[in-house]
Amino acid sequence: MKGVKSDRNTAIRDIVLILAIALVGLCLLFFNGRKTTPGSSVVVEVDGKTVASYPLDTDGVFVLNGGTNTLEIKDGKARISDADCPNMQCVRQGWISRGGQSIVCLPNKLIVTVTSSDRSVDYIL
Amino acid sequence: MARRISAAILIPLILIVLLAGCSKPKVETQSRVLYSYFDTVTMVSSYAGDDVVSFEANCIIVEDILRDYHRMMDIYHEYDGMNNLCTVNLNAGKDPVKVDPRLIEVLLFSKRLCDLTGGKMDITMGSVLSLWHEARAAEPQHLPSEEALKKAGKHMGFEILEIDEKNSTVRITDPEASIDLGAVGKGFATEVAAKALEEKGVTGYVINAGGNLRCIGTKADGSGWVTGIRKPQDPDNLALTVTISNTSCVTSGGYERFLEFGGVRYSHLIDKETLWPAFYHGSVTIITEDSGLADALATAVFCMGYEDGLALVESFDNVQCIWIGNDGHILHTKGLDKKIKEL
Repeated sequence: MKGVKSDRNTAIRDIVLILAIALVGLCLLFFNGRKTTPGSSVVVEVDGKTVASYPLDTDGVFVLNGGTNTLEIKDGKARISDADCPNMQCVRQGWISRGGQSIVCLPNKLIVTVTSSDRSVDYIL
Repeated sequence: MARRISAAILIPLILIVLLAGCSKPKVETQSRVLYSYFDTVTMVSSYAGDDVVSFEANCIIVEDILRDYHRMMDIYHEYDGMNNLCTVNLNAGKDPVKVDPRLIEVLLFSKRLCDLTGGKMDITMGSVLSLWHEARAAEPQHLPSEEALKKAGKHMGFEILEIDEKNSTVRITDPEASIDLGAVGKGFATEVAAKALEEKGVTGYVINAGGNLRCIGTKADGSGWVTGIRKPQDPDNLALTVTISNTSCVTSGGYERFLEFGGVRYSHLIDKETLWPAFYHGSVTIITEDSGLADALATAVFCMGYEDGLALVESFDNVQCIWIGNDGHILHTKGLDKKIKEL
């Protein structure tokens, strides 16, 4: 009789333990998920090398690549506002703000890409 | 008894907690950007977790192929020691030009697709496309005149092109006509590069040739690549995502390259029948393994109404399509039911 009772006690204690462990697990999952989400920023690459990075939440105008292109950040969006390339394709591309979006200036081998916490999309067409 | 049951629950639970705690090992993505081909940026990315040396070797394979095809299909420059498409165009109305057999292969592929698309994807439209190209490149941008377009429109159609496969020569019979491989060249070259990697046993790679995606295999964990398709009227935001692996995905959209005049955006995709930009859809996305076919069909389907496009797409095996209307409505082929997430 006594054996059965202690078995039941053990079972209750185990259930409490299981719940506690499950809770810790959930917390870990949650915080791990949070940890890998930095704010959005724009990364500037010239000839394949990353040369600069700017947070999207700070407005400003930045001279890139020794003056070939000018980057403007405003209201969480970025654009190339001026460039010395002949066709100005990069200026015409307008504003970008979503993770994975990019502006390309082929003559200057310059790419501005938005990197964001939104890792759910690999490519944008 | 209870002890044994709880142990059976506890052990897997502890394992789960441990796994959650140390978060799964992430495969680093490696990317390499190529600037010099097809007037666009090409990115080769590996999701396979391979080492830098083999990644670089694979990038060189891709770059060598893209460079070769870029030079062969370049209509603006000639290169030392070879006849390319520019040479062929400059010799329009004159003698046949000997070219690389690989260029012959592209031209024959294009001719077949021209036939299959009822002429909607036509590489002989060079005379008309160059007018639109000039108008787009001008500062300020303007529209080509209807008169100039009509005149140029008389110098196109496959009858102007003589392809001699045996002697590897090409001749344009009409001195005013020219060939433009813009609708198919990039996709074709990307496919050749992807095939070369596949033959080496490479998997888990993506070649993104200026929005022309070619996926080789899947990611290391077996999942596909989530690809967002923009809203044509609001390209900052996505209309949907589609998950793809082992296939190509090409979008033709009026928002990619356009000229703006009088507050209207004119896309770079020209309808052969009107000689003006096509306005049937906001964008058309083709998903099929062959990147060259995807590229060509994306252009063709963009330049025709939904019913015709659907019939065309369904006439091929394993070609899927997504239409996004100018008003934002989304239509797609049945094969994509489970792969699309509208946002």
